[in-house]
Amino acid sequence: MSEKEKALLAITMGDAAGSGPEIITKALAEPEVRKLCRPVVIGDAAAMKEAFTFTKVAGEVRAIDKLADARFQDGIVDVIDLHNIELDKLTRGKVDTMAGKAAYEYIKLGTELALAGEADAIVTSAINKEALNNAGYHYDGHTQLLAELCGVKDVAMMLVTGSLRVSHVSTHVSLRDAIERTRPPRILTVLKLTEEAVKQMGIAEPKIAVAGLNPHSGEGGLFGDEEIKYIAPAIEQAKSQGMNVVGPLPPDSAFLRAYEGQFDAAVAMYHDQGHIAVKMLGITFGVNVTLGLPIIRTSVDHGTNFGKAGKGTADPTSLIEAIKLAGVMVQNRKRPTG
Amino acid sequence: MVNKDKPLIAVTPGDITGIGPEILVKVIVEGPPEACRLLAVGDVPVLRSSFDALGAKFELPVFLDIGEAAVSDAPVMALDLAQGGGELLALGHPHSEAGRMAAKALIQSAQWAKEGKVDGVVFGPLVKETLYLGKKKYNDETEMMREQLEAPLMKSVAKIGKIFRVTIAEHVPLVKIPEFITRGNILEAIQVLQEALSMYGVKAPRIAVAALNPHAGESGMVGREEIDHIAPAVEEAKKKGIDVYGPIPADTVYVRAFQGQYDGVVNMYHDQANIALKMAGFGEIVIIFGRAPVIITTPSHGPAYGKAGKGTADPNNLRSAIEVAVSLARHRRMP
Repeated sequence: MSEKEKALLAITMGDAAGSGPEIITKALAEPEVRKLCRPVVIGDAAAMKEAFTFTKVAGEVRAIDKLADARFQDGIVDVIDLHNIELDKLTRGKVDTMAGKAAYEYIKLGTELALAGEADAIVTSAINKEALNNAGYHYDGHTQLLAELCGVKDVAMMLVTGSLRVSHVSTHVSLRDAIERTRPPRILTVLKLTEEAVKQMGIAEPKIAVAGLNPHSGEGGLFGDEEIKYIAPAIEQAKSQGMNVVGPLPPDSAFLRAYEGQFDAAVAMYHDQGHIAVKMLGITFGVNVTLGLPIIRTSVDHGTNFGKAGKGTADPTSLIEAIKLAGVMVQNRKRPTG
Repeated sequence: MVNKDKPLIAVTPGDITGIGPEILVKVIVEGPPEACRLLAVGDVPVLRSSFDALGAKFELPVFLDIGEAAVSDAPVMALDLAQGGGELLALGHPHSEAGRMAAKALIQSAQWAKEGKVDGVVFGPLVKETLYLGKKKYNDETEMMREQLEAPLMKSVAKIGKIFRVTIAEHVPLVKIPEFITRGNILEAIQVLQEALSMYGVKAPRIAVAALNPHAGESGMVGREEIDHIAPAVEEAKKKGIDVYGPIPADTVYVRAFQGQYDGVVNMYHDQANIALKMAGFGEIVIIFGRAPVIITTPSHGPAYGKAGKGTADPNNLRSAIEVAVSLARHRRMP
């Protein structure tokens, strides 16, 4: 791959009070990451410089003002410097309003660059919701914020861990609300978004499992009828549109079967249904992908890890996987395989 | 220890038209746990035909009287309930007569346990559809035992590897689950777990209570059950001296439990536990009946009618259920 063919990824620094900056120094020191993409960090150059001193990773920061100034040299991290962290005022390892405000600004710029086509995709580091809210940005997390910045409504969260891809009909709502959201239009939307994303991940003809809502998938209506009334009809609609969809399957086997390779993705009806399955595999290498945006966005699947902030010990695996997945998705978007 | 000092565990084959007799005979032929005396309770002709089918010789001492079996030194023996005709039933299908025989063997064994003639009971797989005792039909074995053993508070506890689990409401529609999330139900589940773990010999068990909503409700932003019911129950349990944690987000509670952080988990609904366990590769669960007057365990699988008579059934879950009953019996004797 020539230098220009490599995906240009805007990597947001995340919450400066957490481990995000340190994780970035480690991830961008990986040769496989550099081989795959041209990374630019959107963050605060001073915070990134300090992160290098924590992790003792060999490398340096080059502060730039705009994307066009990035040079993508090995060992050097190009940082679009928003100058929004005052290190002497930062309370590391704790909820910090300044860091919350800064994190918002990185995401906003990253999204704008991706929407403008200057960056091929955005890869986000962990943010702290409380800090974000304290700074006056009232979102329940990245997904909602990105949807708003992009001006779209029908988004869905997919978690990718190794061979297991799980997308969610609903995420950040109570269980009672989640049950009410399992209706055919939404299920069909998530199925379409899932198929599209899996294709972008390099699978030409995705086979998708749909979990039921109730135990044993309702067992013929004995333990609930949402499968009969809503989920099965949505699956039929998807099939009639040419999709390869199987279900509703008992939730306790749908994700296992997907993980074992019987399906390319599985659709969960609510947050914990999908998250329980994915997290049992270990969260260190999980990736979070937002479906339905006009841009490609992947993210780490862990929190800000305040406990490890400043210690240099945070694990970069999830970010490395998020970068690799964004790279793959960008390549498949550039060269659609059908 | 001489043999007759070892706990006497009554083991019933469960539904005899399923794989129950075969797996019981396999446990016997392969050698039952040495720490117990195993008493196969059922109809001897049924056991004999399972021995024959597996090409093994039936050499067990057979008793008709529980008093004699109780003082026997034999490591494995049979108690013939002589209900008659079981060996003639066709394998591979539920049969009301087989259901009656299974229920009778279970309740009879449990009565003996109540009378102190056996130390524990393990029953083989049975199905709800044929669960009759005489003419009375029961919805499930817990309902039957609650009534027959006069133990209305009995509740099933699942043992998965080292982890014990109680589920607040298992086979109900998800939409009905919030109705079961009450402070009383959760406190009871915590206590049942604490008792079962203590009975099993786990000192100062650490119990996690799973949340109902994502991120444990996130301070009420996505659901209030944690604030209104779960957290107060946890506080109350703490006041009673139980080492309890929660509400813990459901998507990490088993990750943490399997890392050794907890000995027991209270789940709110079926899939909260089952998705995690299947992903972790746990096929084998032993069911222990908490708040029962006697020690009763059972494997978690069904009679597997499709496999009956083929000789391919796996006896290991039954073996584990026996081992758990033995451990419970030994701790009860020497707390």
